[in-house]
Amino acid sequence: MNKNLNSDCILIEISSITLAEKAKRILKSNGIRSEIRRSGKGLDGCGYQLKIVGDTKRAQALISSARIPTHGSSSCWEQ
Amino acid sequence: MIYFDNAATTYPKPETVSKSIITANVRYGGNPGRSGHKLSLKTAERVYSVREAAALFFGAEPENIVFTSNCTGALNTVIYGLFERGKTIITSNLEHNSVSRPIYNILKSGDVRWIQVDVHKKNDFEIVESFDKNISSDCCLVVCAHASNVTGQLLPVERIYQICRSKGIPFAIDVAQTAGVFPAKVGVHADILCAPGHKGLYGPMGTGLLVLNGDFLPKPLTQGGTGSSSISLEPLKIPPDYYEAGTVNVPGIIGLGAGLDFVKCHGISNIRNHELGLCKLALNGLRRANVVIYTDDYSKCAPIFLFNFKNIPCMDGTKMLSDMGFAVRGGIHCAPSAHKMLGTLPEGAIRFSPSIFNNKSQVLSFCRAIKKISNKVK
Repeated sequence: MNKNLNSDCILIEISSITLAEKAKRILKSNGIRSEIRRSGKGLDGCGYQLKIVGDTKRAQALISSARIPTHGSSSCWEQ
Repeated sequence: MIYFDNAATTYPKPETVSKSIITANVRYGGNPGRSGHKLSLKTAERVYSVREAAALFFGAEPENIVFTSNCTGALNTVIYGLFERGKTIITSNLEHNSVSRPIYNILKSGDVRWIQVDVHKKNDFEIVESFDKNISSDCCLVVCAHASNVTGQLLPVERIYQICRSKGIPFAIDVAQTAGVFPAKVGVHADILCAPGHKGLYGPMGTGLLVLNGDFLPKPLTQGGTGSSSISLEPLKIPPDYYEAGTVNVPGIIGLGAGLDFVKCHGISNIRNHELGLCKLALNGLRRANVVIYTDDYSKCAPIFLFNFKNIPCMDGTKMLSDMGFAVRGGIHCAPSAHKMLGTLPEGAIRFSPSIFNNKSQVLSFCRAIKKISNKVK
């Protein structure tokens, strides 16, 4: 089975569910779709991941301007 | 029973609050912020929506809304979390034991100095001047009630906050008697607000809020699982996780959210005018009764009416009123220093506190009952 990197989709690591929810709502109000997932890749283990599909650069800028701390990001894999 | 003990907890609760608690148990049964399954995420989303509503209400960011089990829990977090050895804590002299007892407990170890500013029967100018005189770089915290739970006296918190801000001292207010009745916002009235969820916000008992502005972060009272950064023994020092170790009270939080919606729907100025109107009606109705009235100026006062029968001990008076179908609270109301100022120790006094659910006819029948009791023992 082939896996390809999807450049229109990123996974952003956010430590807290509250901050992940905040980021999701900011993106939604700006017309960007996202989904919260549980993640084990965050800072010191358990955390959350925001899967963002679409204008990922703008999404990252919006999260950054809201001063929501993130702990890395990666591209999504598509099967 | 006609309920006039709303300063202790509001009753009845709005129907929407009661229904939302049932819904919470049925539809939001996952543990928020712990798992990745749909039920957990759905519950987390619902909890966040209440956080967001509370944030809007108190002028804070959603992550700076911390759910606590009551106002006392929030105040203890602030006092134990911000006190510094060898420094001074400043309060008013009308504080509830939720402020006085934690400070006294620290004081017993000799680690802190406590100044109680005399605010009783002082005007705003005198109060602000007294706080200003005492607030110095030696202070680690200024904390006081927005309104006394005994006299109802409102303190000029905005001006006290300006002094604290100019000197870089954290200022926290206890909004137990004002949340949902008077405006209270972080950044305007204080750095930190401590609120009960179950009084003027009409949420269920066992709920409270610690509202932060993000500039001052007290050390948390409890440590434990937060569902984040679990490998480390050090918790992430970001609110709300830093303060919400352990599973939160989801049905209570959702109920509190419904309470906040109820308050917003009615409008706090409408609620305040209604309740103050009922207090003034009680005051006028009892002027010629055989009672001593301690609250008589509603120009700067929370909707509380305090009195005593002239010839009947306080607790006997409340029992007689209870037997006639009226719920009021007699005693010291956990605020002995305020009663000391009034000269009502050791028995205390009777507190009448209405809510949006009371009406004029209930107040008039309450006044009639008081006159009947006081005439009996003349």
